[in-house]
Amino acid sequence: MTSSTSRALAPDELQQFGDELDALKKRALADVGEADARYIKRILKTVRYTEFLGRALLFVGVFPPAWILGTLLLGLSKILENMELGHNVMHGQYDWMNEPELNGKTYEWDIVGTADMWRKTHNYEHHTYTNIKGMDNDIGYGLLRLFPEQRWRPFFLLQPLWAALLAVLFQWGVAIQDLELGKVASGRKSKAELKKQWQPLAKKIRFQLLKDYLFFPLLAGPFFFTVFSGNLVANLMRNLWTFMIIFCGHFTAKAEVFPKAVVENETQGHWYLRQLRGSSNLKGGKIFHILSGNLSHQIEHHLFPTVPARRYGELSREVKAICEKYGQHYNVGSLSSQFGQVLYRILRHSLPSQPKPFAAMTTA
Amino acid sequence: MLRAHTAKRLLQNVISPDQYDFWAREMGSITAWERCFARVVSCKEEAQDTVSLTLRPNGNFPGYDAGQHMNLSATIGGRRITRSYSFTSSPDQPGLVSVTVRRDPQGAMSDWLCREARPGAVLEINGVFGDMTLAQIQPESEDHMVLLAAGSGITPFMSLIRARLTQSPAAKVTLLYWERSPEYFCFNAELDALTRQYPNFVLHRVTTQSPMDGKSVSGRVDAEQLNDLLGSEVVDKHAQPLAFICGGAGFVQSARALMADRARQIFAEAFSPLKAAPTVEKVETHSVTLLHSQRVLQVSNQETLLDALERQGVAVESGCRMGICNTCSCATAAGRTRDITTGQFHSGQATRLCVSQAVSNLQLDL
Repeated sequence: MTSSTSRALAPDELQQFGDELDALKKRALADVGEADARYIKRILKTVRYTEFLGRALLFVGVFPPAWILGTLLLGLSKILENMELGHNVMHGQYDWMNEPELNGKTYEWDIVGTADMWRKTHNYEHHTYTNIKGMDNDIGYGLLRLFPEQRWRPFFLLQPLWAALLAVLFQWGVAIQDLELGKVASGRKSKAELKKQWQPLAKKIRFQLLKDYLFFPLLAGPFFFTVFSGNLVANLMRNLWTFMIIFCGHFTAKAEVFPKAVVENETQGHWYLRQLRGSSNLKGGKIFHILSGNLSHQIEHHLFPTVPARRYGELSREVKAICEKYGQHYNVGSLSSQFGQVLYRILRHSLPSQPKPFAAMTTA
Repeated sequence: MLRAHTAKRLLQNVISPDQYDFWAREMGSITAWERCFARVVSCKEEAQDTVSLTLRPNGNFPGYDAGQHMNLSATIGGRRITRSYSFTSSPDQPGLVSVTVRRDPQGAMSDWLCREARPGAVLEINGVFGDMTLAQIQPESEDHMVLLAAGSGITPFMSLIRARLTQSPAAKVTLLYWERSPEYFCFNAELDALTRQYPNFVLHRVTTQSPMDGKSVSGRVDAEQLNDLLGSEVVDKHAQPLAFICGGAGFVQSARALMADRARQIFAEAFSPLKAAPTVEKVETHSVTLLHSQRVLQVSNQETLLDALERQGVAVESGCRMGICNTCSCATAAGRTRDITTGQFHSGQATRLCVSQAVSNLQLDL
């Protein structure tokens, strides 16, 4: 009757499961220190230098190899900045350093969406209410039907097209997510509220557009369009990459969704269990993990969002062992297999599909 | 100047302050968009366990008045630590500032500044504070100033004395300076030079542990000692001097009480981080909810909130750790706290965590 390959836990088992993960988190946090500081500063340095080199090469982009390399470096810089640096810093993983430029509450990233909106939709809503239908807007971003539990409408027939558009314009999707334009259209949200949200966003959009599509191209003088196109492709690279990584994190075949009722009197152990069951990992090498912001360890990230992400790989062995002990499926696979499952979901649920009952998490 | 301002505004459209600061540092400059970095220019051993550092701040330095202190940050072991230090330099010395640091083996920052900081190291200045300045106090030119310093309490007085004597060369200034033993006395050459230059400047050095050769006065501050040093005749209140007291919390407490009848007005700053006063009330544990991180911690009413939070791994921005700089101030959404410097109870207002203890369960805007 359930789609889960994980066992339902008795209340005392759930308690122990939570305690073991708590202990793991405490151990990891107690060890955080100078090595983590050195690491994130090195990442920051790499972001800055790849951006500089990328932009410098684009100035001589009439020479095709320079254009290609410049664009790749700029795209790499944006990916690294968004994923391993920005995303993780904004989770407060490095707040203990007391370093103003790495402060989770004030960090601003190289993307059209504002960091403040992200802190609300992602850090708070998505991480607290992960994969709860109706509470976690990341399920389909209000545009896609990825689970049979979402009500089908004819609009979804064209969702392979919507998904492709979202992937190409992913930074814009993230930017407008919190505006909840659907709600405004149906009158459930006032225009005044929208206007208030729009002002800081407009400022950020202007900054990003001026920088990538006017200032640096103008600086190149006669080579305006080589610089312009390099920036466009670099942003596109980042959009496609982040779309793919993020969709693999929660929408693989065995990722579960939950009804709103789960949050009532939810214990810490139950919260951990929900994070585990709603997330999926990607196998890969060291560079791949860094470029994904260690979101390839999505399970560990969701269990311990405030632990510096460079530690997730190490933690994953112990998390996996705990999962085995409690009969929980540890959802991990190669990028091609996990992304294949995501694409299947996009195709399959564009057509009507029947929800199965929600998987039981506890026996009580 | 105007052009630099315009350039900055233009640049702000495409580059963030952090990027600007990063590239400046990569090119070896401490120039910054708005942060005030300072490079260590020289380190000098001032006395036993005591080092004087001269710093060159960048163009964002706001300047200071004699008697003030600043919040100074250094990155130690990957963590940026902030503590307050008094300026021992003269404000009219352009471009350079100095601080004098006494090493506390338990203090991460003072230990690092005394042993690890080298010329070239970059620190950050986060604000200048302090009301113990001539501009604030506005003494008359004939006012007698009596300054009582213990240990590193001497530091703000160095700039204050120089400023006073420069402004009113004939004004009477008396400095009583306690150290535990002779090798700890700082600024010997400068202080001796001042006594030679200004006959109206009187200096008494007092040791609390090993007595100095040929000096009769020693030991911790008490009434008898002050009678010896300042005379015992009773003076009319309006003719009494202005007293300035600086040093560890214990010294400031006793000196303040002893000077109450001898001074028209007392200005005091306690330097050592105040420990929660041993209270008569019974030991209690309260829970503190951090509203932003949704963490709940247990804290004892026998320690300061700042100590308790830091001990449990919560990164709190802090500075002076003695209730002066307000860096650690944070809104209390619910509950009561006690200010250990005043003994007063507070509720529903900004709380300086470094000098506050929990009296009930609390909700903090952290």
